[in-house]
Amino acid sequence: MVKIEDLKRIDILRDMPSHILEIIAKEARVQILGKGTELFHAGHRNETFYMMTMGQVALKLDLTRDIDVTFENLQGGDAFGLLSLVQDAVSSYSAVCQEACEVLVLEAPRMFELFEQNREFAFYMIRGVAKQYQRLMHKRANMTINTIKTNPDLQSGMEEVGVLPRTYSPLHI
Amino acid sequence: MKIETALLKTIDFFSDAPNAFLEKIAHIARVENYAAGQTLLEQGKPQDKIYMVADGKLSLSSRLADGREIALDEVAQGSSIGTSALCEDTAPQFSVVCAQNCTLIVISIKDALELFSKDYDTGYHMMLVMVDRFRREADNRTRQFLRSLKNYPGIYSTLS
Repeated sequence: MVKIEDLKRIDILRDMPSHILEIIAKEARVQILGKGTELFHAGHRNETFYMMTMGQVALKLDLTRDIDVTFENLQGGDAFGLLSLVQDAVSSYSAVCQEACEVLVLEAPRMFELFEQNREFAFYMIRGVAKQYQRLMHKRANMTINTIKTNPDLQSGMEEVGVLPRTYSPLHI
Repeated sequence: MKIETALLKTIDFFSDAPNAFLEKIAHIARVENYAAGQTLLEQGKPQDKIYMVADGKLSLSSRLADGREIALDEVAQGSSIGTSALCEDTAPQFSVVCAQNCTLIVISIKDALELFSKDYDTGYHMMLVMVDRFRREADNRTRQFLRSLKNYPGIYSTLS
């Protein structure tokens, strides 16, 4: 069983009620991962939800066959593999350990069983995932805005070839 | 009075949602008419409602740090504004004004959160809908950035 204090250091779990954390503590297990381990690959189904306690994990996407782009470097307190908790969803990124890492893991099939048995638990877990995606969505919108701010001459060219949207609003979902 | 679930289905946010879930949402949603020029959300000010466009058009604008006001976007029938507030209590980063006379589906955030705290099944489904919408938007932006990067490798520095 994982300690509740360790779970409280994970950002996505920070405002969860203690009875929900107790469920997670019973289900989570600690895993040590070596540098260079690929935990899941973009476009594939991943069945594990990860919470970082130590180390660094890069979220990457392939730009070409030979070049990949690192979008995030995750550290202690971050969670990833979020879409493992959504039925049939595939990973948006590949995740690779940049150094030796310690993670807490939850296996998705067991989580789905618990979601069916306990909708309160399901609500809090998926609300946590929604919050993370909301932040990611804003981060990506700001990335587009920063691209244009730092390279204003690129805007019209990129719009013309459909690379950037004609408007670049923060998200209005 | 409860609104028709068929009307909720015309909103992109709910287009794939199951009927039983929409029935619950229909009980807390209202249809309201707004005149052109009416302000719905103000940048940086607390937000208490979610708006969904049944008919009409909304304008989004943002005031920059240097005081300039920039038009961001126009959203039309089927769009939703402000649903992010259901998972995190943050003030909107933009203002929203009716660009035309509008018919809107309006949901009070307080009513929605009350519903979710009593009915976790509905809350769970709402959060799944939100994850799906947020993920699609984040993935679209990521793909746009990757396509930009192929043409303009110098923009990689904006990632940091």
